[in-house]
Amino acid sequence: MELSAQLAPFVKATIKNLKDMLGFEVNTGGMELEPDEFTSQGYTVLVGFTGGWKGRLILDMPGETAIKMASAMTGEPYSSAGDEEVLLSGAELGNIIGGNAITEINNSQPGLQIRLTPPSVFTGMGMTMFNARVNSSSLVVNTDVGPVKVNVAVEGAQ
Amino acid sequence: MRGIKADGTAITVMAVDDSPVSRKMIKKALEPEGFQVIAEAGNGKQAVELYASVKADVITMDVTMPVMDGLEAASAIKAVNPGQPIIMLSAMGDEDIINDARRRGINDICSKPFKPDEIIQKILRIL
Amino acid sequence: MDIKFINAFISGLLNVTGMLGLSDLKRSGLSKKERLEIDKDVNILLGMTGGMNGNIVLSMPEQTARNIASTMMGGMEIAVLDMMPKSALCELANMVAGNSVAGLDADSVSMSPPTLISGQNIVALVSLVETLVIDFTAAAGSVTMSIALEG
Repeated sequence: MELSAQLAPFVKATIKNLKDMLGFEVNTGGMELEPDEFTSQGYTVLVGFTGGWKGRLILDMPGETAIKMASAMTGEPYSSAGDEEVLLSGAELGNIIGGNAITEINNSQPGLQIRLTPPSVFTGMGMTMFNARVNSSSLVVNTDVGPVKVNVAVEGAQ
Repeated sequence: MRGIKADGTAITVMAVDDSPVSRKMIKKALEPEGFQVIAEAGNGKQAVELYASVKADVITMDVTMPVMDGLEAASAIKAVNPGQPIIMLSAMGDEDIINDARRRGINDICSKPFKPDEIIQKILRIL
Repeated sequence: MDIKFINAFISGLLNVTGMLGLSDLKRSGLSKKERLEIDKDVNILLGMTGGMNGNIVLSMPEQTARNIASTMMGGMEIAVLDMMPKSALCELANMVAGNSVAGLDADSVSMSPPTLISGQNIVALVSLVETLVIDFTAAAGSVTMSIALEG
């Protein structure tokens, strides 16, 4: 299944970041449509967007992956996905991936003027994310440190 | 060690970014090459206040920050010292922001994510 | 963070809940925290850009969420927080945010769609900026509204 027009730029930015910034080897799975409720793998970064597209980006991964990701970013060891710097690393990742993606979208479709909200990061047990009246599509990016699911929901998208 | 000057001292850096993780990433990219991050600020206002007492060879400045953003802070610092090298870091490559930055005299822009080599070369070029 | 700002959010929540049949909500606490951290089971988050840039979160225990959804849905018994009550709670958050912001006369503010996050033992970092935390209580339970704005 071809990536939806909404998901594609975010997947591209995620892959670029994980490869360039963190030096990971990556490979990707296929695109999947998700129901309105999304089950977290344990650690979820959420970045909203407004403007021409209204919706949100989710970067979701197991806690272990988040810990390793944070260590790759700062060079320091962490023991829990709830450690402040692990949460902050996810926020920074959300900012960078979101920023890169919407730059590309805005530059290619000047009328859209999509803007990002500040990111938030959640970790917990049995977490679910629900958006009303909005379907989302996902793609899993497999990395050296585990799977990172990129999930994008845009209001009004097919 | 590209971060060491001819006289053997380190090139000093002030890192300005609202994310402590991002500031760590800058240190991680620069310190292995001998650069020394001598000051950090979490927003533009802190950066401007800190600049009154701490002068670094180069300032790395994030754009999107609370209280005062990087563009405003850069203008304020350039007003005090037009010769202060400032390199802007941003995940957003909007042409508007880039043009605005240049108008304010920001010396160069490095997009996030950056590879250590990339930011090091850009810093050396503006010094 | 001035009094006008604080009052706009308090009014926003009380006005909207009042309109939805939850008329006994009362403000029970007001504080400023260094950052927006949450620890309740049910959280509705929405982000804003433009004249106001940041995140608003409505947090509550699961039982309270079910009670509020029930009132919003005409007293229907809600045994499980599934799609319908969750949609109702998302709509509540939308209305509270919209109503609050309207009372502030800010330059054009856009809101992202609300996301309802639920789970156990949630540790979250929503913002590193100064956050206004307003607690409300009612027979249905307690609700916390956190507003974290950058700039």
